[in-house]
Amino acid sequence: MTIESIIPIPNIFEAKRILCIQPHYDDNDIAAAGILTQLAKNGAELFYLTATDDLMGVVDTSLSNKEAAELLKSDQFAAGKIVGVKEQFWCGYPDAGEYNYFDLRRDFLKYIRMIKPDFVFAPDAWLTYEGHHDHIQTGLAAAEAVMFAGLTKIASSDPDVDAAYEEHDIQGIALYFTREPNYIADITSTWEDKVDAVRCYEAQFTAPGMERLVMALDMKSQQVAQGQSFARGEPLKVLHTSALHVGI
Amino acid sequence: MTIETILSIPDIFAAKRILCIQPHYDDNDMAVAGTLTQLAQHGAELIYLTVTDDLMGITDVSLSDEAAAEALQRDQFAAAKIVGVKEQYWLGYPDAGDYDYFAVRRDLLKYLRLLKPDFVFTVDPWLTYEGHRDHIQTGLATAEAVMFAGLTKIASSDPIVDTAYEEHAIQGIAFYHTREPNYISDISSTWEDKIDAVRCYETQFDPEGMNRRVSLLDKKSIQVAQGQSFQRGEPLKVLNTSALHV
Repeated sequence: MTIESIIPIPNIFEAKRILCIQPHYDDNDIAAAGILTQLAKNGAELFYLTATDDLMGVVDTSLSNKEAAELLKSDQFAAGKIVGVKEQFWCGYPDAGEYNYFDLRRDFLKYIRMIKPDFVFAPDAWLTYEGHHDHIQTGLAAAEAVMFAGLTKIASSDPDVDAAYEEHDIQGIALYFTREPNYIADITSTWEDKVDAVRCYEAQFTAPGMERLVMALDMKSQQVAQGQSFARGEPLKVLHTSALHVGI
Repeated sequence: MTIETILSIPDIFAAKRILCIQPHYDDNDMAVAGTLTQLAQHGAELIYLTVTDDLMGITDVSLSDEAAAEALQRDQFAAAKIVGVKEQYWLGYPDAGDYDYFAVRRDLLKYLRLLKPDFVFTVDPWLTYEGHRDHIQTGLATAEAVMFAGLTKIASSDPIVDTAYEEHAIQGIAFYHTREPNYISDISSTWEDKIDAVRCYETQFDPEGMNRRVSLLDKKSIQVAQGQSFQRGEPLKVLNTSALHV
């Protein structure tokens, strides 16, 4: 028996400003480009924030870190054009590295107080059998930063941002890469856009590796749509901000 | 499919001394004041231990930390009178702060060895979609401290307590704020006491926020009692101490 929240699921299509916090440069798009493309078309402003520098998985190991970082960004901007991302930010923590959780949370608090999103997307930190520490840390720090955005006694990494901050409402959080969705987004109309965006991420995939990823996404999008009235879906756990605490 | 423990669920009503370990000053009562009031009426001694100083969520930001801490304790004592709490202890770790897990565990070991409870209540750290790190750390450190209470090679924060300690049995642990209960406690008879206790926590809720909180607790208590023979419940995951491992 698992008890669900008594707080109704907020409607992501009412969001006007969405901050999508990802551990690595391609997670938002691999997980949720289908729904994010629809939200942008619906008029929402999309902001992406990438927690790590993502330098560990670069295919061409002859590249310097500086060259690799430039390549990663040019991939991101190409995909961002397809999805309709308005602005991108980076925290630059070392990929798969030993960084401090509280530093990450302070940086997320800064961007949340600065950008004032009404909805936040992030990976589901409670995804069982997720092995990548970056995903767990990013998901937990994003959830806690969403809860604490209004409590300026909890400092961000930028005192100026904290001083200038005026309280705003975050309607909810949408957690992607989840095994416990409460909402399956119908992405049939934006599936092609999603695959086009995913194919921009060349710096971290060999050509055969990219084909395998697209095929896996293809199968997964159909699996999660089983029993729905549409062909392809993306699974989300959408929670009201207050549902991030004590299981209410 | 989820596999359950083969150990039977211990009876919380057999407990004589219950230590309730909470991250913040109001968690025990928000979660389980209904059950705890019944246990106290049934003769159990209730002892509360609060891990953090809880200073981040004070509604009156003009208060000094000292004045805020006093207001928080006043709220706690008022609520405790209603529930029937015998004693209270505080660890004072910074609310939402960067404290060390092992320091907390050492302090919890000290209080377990000192107070020798036969049952422990705490937050469920495996509650999926719990965003508050204080809850996760408190629940995990409590579970481990309960398992390790008898292993004095694992030092507490007080060597004198460790030396004086004589082994005692902890029958079980009851996790509250859980999505995966194995026991729904009937709190219909103590619902009013619970709300009276919750309403004592004025320092962290403005009147409007408190009314919203009470209304959520109201709905939740009815939701978890669905399919039961009673009106209002509190969900618990009650485990034998040996069921906390593998």
